[in-house]
Amino acid sequence: MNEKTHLNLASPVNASSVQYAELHCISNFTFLRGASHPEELVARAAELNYHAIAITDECSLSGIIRAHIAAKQHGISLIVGSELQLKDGLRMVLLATNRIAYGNLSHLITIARRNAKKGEYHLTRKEFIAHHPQDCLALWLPQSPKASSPTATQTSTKSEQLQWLAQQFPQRTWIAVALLLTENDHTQLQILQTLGNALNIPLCANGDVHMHQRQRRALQDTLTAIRYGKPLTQLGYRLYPNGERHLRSRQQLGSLYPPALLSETIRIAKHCQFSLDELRYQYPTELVPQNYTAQSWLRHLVQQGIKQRYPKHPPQKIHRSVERELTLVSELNYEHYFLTVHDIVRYARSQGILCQGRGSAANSTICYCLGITEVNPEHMELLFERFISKERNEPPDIDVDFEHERREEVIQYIYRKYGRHRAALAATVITYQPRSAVRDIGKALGMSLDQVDRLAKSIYWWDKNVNEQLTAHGFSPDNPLIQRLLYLVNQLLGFPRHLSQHVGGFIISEGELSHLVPIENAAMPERTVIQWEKDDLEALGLLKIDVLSLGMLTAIRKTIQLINTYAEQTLTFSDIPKEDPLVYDMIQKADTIGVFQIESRAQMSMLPRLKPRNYYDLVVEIAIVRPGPIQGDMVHPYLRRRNGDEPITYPSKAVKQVLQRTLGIPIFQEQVMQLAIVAAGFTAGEADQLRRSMAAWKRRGGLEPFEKKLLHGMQTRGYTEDFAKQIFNQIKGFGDYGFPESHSASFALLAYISSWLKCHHPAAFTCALLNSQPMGFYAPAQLVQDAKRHNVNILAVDINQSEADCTLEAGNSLTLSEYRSQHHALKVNNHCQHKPPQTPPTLALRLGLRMVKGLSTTGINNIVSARQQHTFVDVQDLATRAQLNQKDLETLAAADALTALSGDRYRAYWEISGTENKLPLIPSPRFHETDILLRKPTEGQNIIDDYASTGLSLRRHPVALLRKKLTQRQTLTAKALWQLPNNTHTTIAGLVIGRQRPGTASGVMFLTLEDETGYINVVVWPKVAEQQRRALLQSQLLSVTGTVQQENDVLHLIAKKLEDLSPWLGALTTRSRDFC
Amino acid sequence: MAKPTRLSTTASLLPHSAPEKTQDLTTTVQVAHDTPLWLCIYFPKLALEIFTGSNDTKPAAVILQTKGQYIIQTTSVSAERHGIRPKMTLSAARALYPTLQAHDANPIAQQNTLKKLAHWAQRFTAKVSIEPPQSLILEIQGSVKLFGGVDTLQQKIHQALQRRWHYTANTAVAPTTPASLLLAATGQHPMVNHKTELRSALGSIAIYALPINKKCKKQLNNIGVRTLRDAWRLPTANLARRFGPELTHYFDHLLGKTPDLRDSFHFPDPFMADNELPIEVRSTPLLLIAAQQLTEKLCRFLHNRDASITQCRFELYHGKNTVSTIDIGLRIAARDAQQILILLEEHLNRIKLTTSVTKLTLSAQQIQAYETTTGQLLFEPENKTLTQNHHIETLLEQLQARLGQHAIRHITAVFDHRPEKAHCYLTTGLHSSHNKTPDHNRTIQVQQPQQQLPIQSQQRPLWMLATPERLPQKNNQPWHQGPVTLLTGPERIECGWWSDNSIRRDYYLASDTQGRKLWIYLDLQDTAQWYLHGLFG
Repeated sequence: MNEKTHLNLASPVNASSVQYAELHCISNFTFLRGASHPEELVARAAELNYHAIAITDECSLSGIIRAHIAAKQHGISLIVGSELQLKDGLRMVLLATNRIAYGNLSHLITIARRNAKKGEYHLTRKEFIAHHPQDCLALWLPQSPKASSPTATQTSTKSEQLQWLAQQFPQRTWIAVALLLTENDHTQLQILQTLGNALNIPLCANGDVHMHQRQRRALQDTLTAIRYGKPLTQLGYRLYPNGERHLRSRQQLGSLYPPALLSETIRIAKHCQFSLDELRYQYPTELVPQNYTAQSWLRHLVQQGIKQRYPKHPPQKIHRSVERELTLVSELNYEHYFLTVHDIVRYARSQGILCQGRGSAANSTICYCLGITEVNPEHMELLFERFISKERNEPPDIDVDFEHERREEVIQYIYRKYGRHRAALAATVITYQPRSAVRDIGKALGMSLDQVDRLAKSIYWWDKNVNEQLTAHGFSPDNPLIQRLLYLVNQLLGFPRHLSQHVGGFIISEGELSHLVPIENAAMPERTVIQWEKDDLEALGLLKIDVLSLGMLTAIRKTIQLINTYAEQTLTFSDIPKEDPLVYDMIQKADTIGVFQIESRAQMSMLPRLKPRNYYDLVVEIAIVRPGPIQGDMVHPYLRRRNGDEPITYPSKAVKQVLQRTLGIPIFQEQVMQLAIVAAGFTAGEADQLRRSMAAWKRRGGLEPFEKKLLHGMQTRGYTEDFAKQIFNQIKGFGDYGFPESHSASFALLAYISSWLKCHHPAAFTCALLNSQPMGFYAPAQLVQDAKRHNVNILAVDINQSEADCTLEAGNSLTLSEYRSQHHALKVNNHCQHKPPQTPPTLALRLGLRMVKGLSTTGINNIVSARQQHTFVDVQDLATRAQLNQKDLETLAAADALTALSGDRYRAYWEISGTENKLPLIPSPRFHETDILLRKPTEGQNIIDDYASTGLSLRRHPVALLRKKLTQRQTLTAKALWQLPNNTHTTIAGLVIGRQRPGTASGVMFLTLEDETGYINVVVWPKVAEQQRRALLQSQLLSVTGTVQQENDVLHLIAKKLEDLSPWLGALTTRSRDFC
Repeated sequence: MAKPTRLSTTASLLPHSAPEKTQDLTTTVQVAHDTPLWLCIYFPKLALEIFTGSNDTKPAAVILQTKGQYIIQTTSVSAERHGIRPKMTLSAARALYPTLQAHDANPIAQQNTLKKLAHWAQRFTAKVSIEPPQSLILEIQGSVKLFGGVDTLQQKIHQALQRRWHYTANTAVAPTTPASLLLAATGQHPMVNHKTELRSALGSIAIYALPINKKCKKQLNNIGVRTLRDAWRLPTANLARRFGPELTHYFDHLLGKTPDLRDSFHFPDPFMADNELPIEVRSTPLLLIAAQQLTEKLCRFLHNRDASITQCRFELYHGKNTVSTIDIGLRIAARDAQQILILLEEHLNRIKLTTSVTKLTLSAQQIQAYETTTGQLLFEPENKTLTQNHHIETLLEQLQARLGQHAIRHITAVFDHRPEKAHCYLTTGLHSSHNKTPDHNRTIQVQQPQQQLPIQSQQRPLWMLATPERLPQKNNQPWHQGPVTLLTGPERIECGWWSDNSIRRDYYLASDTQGRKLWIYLDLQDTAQWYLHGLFG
């Protein structure tokens, strides 16, 4: 409305006569400067009928793919460019005219970025000349980027800058004039016109755009404040004087700029013909030997693989699917992709690094033959076409998990093999989340750190009842400050903040990668990332390979290694017996602590209900305990159908095809997508778009059009509204954590293997888990407790016995190989004589020195090597020969590892505090002190100290010591709880070992308590949680009174009253692992 | 200024203060006739109660900032009820009680309160010493008889404390100071009369309650020593070899094996002097001569105590009980007679005496420790700015004395796009950085780097209207005693949305019919109204 009343000095202009292309526009990928998403800028430019829009983020092409997608959607041409500031003051915008110009620009950005630390860039004129971006157009920017001193540079230096630039880009240089309603617009224009005339360089208009709409002015100011780390009130002239840096209407522009300057923008835009669609990716070719084509080489490798996998003769079925898959691969030209993944996996295998592929293409027969996956396609009825679709033309996706301790070796191999100029990690764009947004904006608005902190904390419940939450934390929602804050936070959410490295997504190219996408330094030394993230690569159809790390693979390799030290037959990853009923018995009892994936509390409470009987059940088990199926209310129907409580029906034949394997209930991401196609009439491409939007809807929204289409499509095809809504709800649930069948299949395999190891070799398995920490869901204390319950004899850390790692001991001073032969003899014996079998002596697990908290690696090495001569006689001997410092000695004493030398912990401390640090040259007669009156540590004290030092105790469970006191209070044990009928009111107590507040459970808190007899699962409803916050959040030892709920071998205690009994524990320092 | 004066420094109780050092202080201490008896008053919540008093209706805590985190230092009883404990982070505490009131620790105020308490406690015995951060120690042997026994005395002190101060306090009596302190702090055995009873009275006190260093406590804990009794069972030589001599020294002090000598608290006396004038005086020079004697006396007094003042008061007696008062305030604590006299002269010139003066007094109440300003003796160039500042400060003092406190203001440029905010007046007093205590709640204010003023934006009118004048409109055009012609513009200014003073305006340079250059703007905010904001010269 103001624009109308606004008096203009210039004569009114007819908008339609003005043609304009915006050539200088930064998005929010110029972090903390741009105040609009690239998509918003492009959409707005299209709305204003601009001829074209350039996205010219500062030394970055990070946001360009998003802009590209949006530009195609809105039918506006997009120009790729970048704003650069040289260290010697010169500022410019470079625009790409063609593919070569684009490559050069990308390379120049790479040079500038690689020259500086993460997040910054450095470019001088000299470097600029050395990496001259041929074929680009240059717009010279006369103004400084800072809001202050717009004309600070003198005319003489300006002229010099311009001349230099024009030399670099003869006939391709323009003076970019931005008229932004400052007081000196007029003068500025005159000066530049004079300069242009003198040097014969044309002028063009530009908007120095920072936001798509004027309404973002407040946000832009706020971003400036965040960038300077100062509150708004202190920024003064560092803020722009007005909000003119938005995309303005052509009418406004026409009234401001001389027509020649506007039409010049069109001329420039017409020079820029480059589109990102031209980017063609070339695979590395070196993997194909001479005399082979990629096609024939892949076929060759697959054939070799078949021979290995099926040494006798392979089933006909395998041949058929291999042929089918190879044809599909060659039609889509994906050979190089499979060869590249194969090569990486081959390398890992040659180094003895365990790996396992997963993802859309990983569970194919050819991947099985190439050794990329161990999932036998015979066990799965997974159609390859389900993962690679011709119509969708979507690149195959294979993620390979490697042992977490050795993934770096694989990464370094990739760098070595292809060179840093050809291989780099994809980026992850870190975006503003509620907490970070509140924190930064709060500070910018001048709130105190304490206030900001308090607010950021209250954001935990951001989506719901913001006002109530604010009031509860002492903020008035009516306060204008709070209102401004909320307004800005809502805008800032989802804004990119910085680039980080993707967990393992590699892009490898044939030529120089820097000509495809800029590469910059990551925070980790020796790491580089490209400026695009995974979705960007996908959108352009570029291939990436995920090199991920997985702790369980490390643990599995270590277990197998341990087993091979004592087992009769050598065991390998691939010859672990399949479908062992004993293993499934164990799984059904939820005896799965330490096992991959199905060890979490939620999984464990599902196992006795779902009762997995085979591998595919595990695939379902892993995928079903996820937000998608839970929010879509799929769990109970599935269980009912499985138990035969409900008939298995399908709304149609088409749906039956999709859902048959999961009893008519959609559980996997792929099924939901297929339903959209089959039941709602989506095209493959639309279904794929739906999948992409699923991942982002919580942050950006955008599912609404799909919802309509889906509901409508299903209704017209005769499905009930309920069914349609259910499917849609599940789609929303997948947004949080979409879980596809292809991943579940690989995870299920590892779940099975780890279960088998736990079932048959509990000592070796626990030992390997302890040696692979940190990983998994449980702390060492729980793993050890669990092993003890499985009759594994655990031996304490002992200075004269323990190795660096945890080890297995045969007992009776046998070595492991002696044990092996004895064990074998016994077995043969049992077999021959038909006597009742004798149980073989079990292996004991000796805790290693690594379990001693705070003991240095040097210390560990010194102890182990000094002990090779002979065992230590006393503390002084230990200190002297292993050259341990006081701190290492103390940590050993704390861990009670010196018992062999000193007796108890107190004496050990007393003795080490009396050792001389200096090495005596001549072994002097030892200092003999009179016997002193030290008390003996009590059992409780010892347990407390055990926990403090190693995080676990082999003595009695701490709760066992308090049992008498607890019984007086009518407190039951975990075990006794199982004897109670449902809905009994009772009290239990235990150490809090886990607190979980899953996002799906709307504020319900799950606690896991442990006492000397086992675990107790406690459910705390929000109301109870709110009233008894303190006990809930603070207790280490907690007493819970509530009602028992037992169903299908799952027991919960629904909490009514919580009481913190922690003071009973004295200084016990067990820490619960809080997963919130 | 609340620096502890040297006069009140006390010997440290901590074991690491070497015994030799303690003996140095014997000079000022009179050893009591027979064994001294000490009463310790311990204020467990003093850090908090200096803010809240004994009022504990809302959970509150004192916080300290360490490594960017706020840590709870002292809590109120009501906060404890919600599970809030010292050493918790503020955010953890707020998770338990969202609206916990947090006060920044103020050790200076605490120390001052302790001094006040010490002053007050001198009504019970002459020998009171301050034991920072939260205790007082009184030597009561001499007063016991006077007050009718230790019991009665202890009771009296308690009652008096409650009546007058409302701070939570524990007391304990013991024959050594460390023991009295320990007993008061742990709330055990309010009274131990003889050294022989000390071992058994102290034996059950936990090691963690001792004022010894943390490392030593941890080591003792490691060998299973939890109480003093445990420690006393071990041979002293072995203990000393392992944990250093400080520990055993502390034990000796505690049990009175080595004497603990301490300095008692003296509240600096106020200064007061008068000068009866031989004749009635009315002329300023004569008065000044009289004043000079007094001022010099004051300065000698300050020198002797190594102290200084920021305020003093001259009183001029006119006979018949009329008195005029002249307060002299110094911007920097000082003890320079000349400076005081110059200021007095300025005052005298201003007030113009109408009646003659018969007597002159000079008094100074708030005596504080003297802080040497650098560069008095060794004049180094680096100090130039400092002394220059000093000169300016002196000049300002003089001007203020002459013209009045609020007569002096200075103008300063403010970097703000909003024209009316681009400058402001400050009274000089505000600008002084002295006496400012750091504010933990705010981010540290970094000096603004020199910002360049936009060169051409200086085209601002010389005369700005205090409030913009609304211009009538005719034919959609602004009117100022005739039609207004727009010359250049618009210059759009949109700024200040974060405050109550948000503007969105288009400014124009315009001229009226009389050829005056006007600076007018169109308000874009909501009224679309024209205003006159300034006139060019």
